[in-house]
Amino acid sequence: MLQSLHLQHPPISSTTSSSVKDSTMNMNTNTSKRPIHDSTDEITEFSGEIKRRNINEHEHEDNSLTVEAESSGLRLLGLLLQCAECVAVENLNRANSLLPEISELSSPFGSSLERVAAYFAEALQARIISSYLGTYSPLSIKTLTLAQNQRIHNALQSYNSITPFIKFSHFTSNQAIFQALEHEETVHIIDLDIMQGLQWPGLFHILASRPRKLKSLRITGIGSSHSLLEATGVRLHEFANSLNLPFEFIPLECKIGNISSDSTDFTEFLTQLGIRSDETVVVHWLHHCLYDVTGSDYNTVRLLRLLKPKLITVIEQDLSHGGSFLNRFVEALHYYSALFDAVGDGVEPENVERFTVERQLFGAEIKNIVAVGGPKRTGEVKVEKWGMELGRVGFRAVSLAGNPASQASLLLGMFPPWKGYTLVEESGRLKLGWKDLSLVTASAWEPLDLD
Amino acid sequence: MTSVDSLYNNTLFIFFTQKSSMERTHLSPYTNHPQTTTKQPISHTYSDPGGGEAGPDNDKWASKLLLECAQSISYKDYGKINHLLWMLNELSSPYGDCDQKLAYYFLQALFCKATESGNRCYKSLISVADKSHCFDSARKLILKFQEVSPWTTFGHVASNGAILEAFDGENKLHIIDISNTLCTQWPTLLEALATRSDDTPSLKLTVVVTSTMARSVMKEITQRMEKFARLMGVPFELNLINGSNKRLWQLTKEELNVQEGEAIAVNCIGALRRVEVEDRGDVIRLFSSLNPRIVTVVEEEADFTSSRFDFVKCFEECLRYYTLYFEMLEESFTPTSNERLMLERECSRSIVRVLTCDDEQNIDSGDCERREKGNQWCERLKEHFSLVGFSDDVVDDVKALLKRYRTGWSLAHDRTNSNEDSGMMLAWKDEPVVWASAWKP
Repeated sequence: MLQSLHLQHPPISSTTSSSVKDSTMNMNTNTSKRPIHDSTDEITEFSGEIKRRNINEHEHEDNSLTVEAESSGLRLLGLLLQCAECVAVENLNRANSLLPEISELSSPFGSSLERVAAYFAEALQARIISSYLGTYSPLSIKTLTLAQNQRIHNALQSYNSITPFIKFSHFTSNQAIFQALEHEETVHIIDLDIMQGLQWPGLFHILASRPRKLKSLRITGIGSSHSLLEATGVRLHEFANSLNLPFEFIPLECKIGNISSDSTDFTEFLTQLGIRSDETVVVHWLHHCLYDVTGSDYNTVRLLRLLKPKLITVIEQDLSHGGSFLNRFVEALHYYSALFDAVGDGVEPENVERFTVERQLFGAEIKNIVAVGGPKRTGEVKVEKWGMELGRVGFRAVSLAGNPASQASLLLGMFPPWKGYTLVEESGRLKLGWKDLSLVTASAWEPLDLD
Repeated sequence: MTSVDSLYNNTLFIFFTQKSSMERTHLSPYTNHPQTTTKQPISHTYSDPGGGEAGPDNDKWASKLLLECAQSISYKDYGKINHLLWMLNELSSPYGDCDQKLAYYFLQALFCKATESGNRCYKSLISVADKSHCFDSARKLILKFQEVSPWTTFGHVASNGAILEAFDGENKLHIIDISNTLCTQWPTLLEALATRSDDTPSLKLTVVVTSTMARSVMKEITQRMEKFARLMGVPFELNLINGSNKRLWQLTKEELNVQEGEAIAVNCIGALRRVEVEDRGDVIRLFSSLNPRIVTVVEEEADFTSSRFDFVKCFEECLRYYTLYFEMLEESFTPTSNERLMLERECSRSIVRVLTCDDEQNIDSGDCERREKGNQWCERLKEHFSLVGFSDDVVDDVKALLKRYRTGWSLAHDRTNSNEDSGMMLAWKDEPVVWASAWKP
């Protein structure tokens, strides 16, 4: 049990039996009163970070207010961590008894800390009840209704206008893809989670303007709803036609990891994805926690290895999905604290657009991470960091320093001035964060053994 | 079939194969029951990762699921209880639309009921709220609520009107105010007294605070009221009595400061419902013993009393009433209002109290929360008093008040006592919500 404290790669082979064992061990250590994680360190670390991030905000405020806010903020953090610890050792009684105070101190309409606490409290409450009922529902088998998808898309539009993350992912990956396609004329892009396909018009534009024209441009868009995919296809067709691009859209209603994992018939597999043998393949994935995209992480990795696309572009949240509940919780708390800070910066607490983004996107993700997720509960094996995983299974990083990096810098300098956001290039990866905490990493990969 | 229905059907079989956790009567889920931790995945076609509103085909899904769960609890159908609690847990959210909020707060109560942890839960909720409330936040909340909704001002205007008319010609006035309104009712009355055509009377105000929380904030009130009365030029005296640590009907004339030659009015706003059911008759007898000129009673229109030994019936009525209240709150406040959130949380405490707590345990007298409807209060009050109709002037004042708010508010006509006048009823979207009445001995 204690070994799960440290972030580590989960074994790639499916190990449902070992996860059951883990939970039995869990039960036997139930009687131990010693917390497995020293929360005092966490709180000090946390509060230091929050102070640092908010130093500008509170410079001119009344000192007494700041002190009060700080102490209730510290209390809130402490309670959240205590509650998570209790959930981690399945002391549901105690966890449940902490929630009323956490809820009372938090609010989705208050300071950044109060808001992030509100959603974590909601998620903890949901988790406690589902733990008590003893029934879990893994994320991989949930599907969203049309209305829910629509709400997410609308919230994403707001998200796109109040933060630079989406534009960052579009600009950097399109630039990397454009560079990889320099000498290619027959192109096939596979978007593992296409949603409304808002990324691709940007790429269409730069591909259409290059001197060496494309002979064919095809996109396989993967998603959960045929009607949504069709709508995306129509939109992309319109745009491509206006640029005179020879475009074809292939909608694929499935999850990439559920495509036949039987590697015996490679051509069969290519047919399923709609790929022709003469095409140059690029795979793209913009990562989030709103719903499950892969179906099976393990199979997805296998498929990517089989496929050996010319380029894989991945935009990943700097959050790991394996590991123990407590680790995931603490990491998520760090992560979303920064994110809530970022969207709340300079915005009044009653702002409805920000509330919508926080509730429909962040709150939903937090609930998925805290209330649903976890390999021990569901038996799934999750890849911790795709960026690192690809490096382990036969791909090497393609540096994004250069054009993609300058695109990203340009973006941050654009309107509105995204002050507070930090851009870092590290080993060819581009990291966008809020006040030095990296939140999103863009990376690109090519197969080690090139033809 | 709606998506909620298909979720229900698809997950039904899982719960019947599972050993029930509801058979335990104490809240310690995992002692010696490793098999209740199931790794069975549930397949379904609807899920809400916390952000969705119900579509048109899922209208009022919350009340359906909640009622079914309440019924399952009363039949002790453990498999079904688990299943429904799980569904409610998946779909609810305290920051979503009305359905999601109702699902969230009633789920809390159902969970307490199923695990028999209501008393403990309520104590914890109250102590937390007590700690975090202060005069400023309480006052801000009341004033904001009065700004966006006539829910409380309705009763104030009606009562003040009746009191002023009853006090006509008197100059030594004593109002015994049994309420938790933080004296927000009285400034307008003081103004009216100041502008009376004859000599300004003196006013003694004895405020009996019954809610455990209002107690801690009342001290700040005294200064403000005295200052305001000085401004108005009304000779004024304010006394506070803590009515929450004793039975209300045990208060004596001496404790209430009742003196010879005073014209007494008893003003009872949302206070009778806080009295334990068995004591209500005694409280009304106490009022009678004070020989008041007038008694004004304002209560919210719901019946959590006659059904108090029938869980499902009580649940239904709670759900009906709070659905109205939550919808009213949603339409009255802005979407990102902290005040609305605080009022919703207040409701959650009442819901837990009414549905899951033992009345006999007498958690803290003054927090009973078992409302009765106007006609029920009438039956009680008729033993010692007779109803005084509101004059046309007062009715006009109330109508003018309602015009100041968003549409949806009106005066309902009481159908039960169609021959007699039985007080005034505030209605929201034609549903009766708040009842105001005036009585004389």
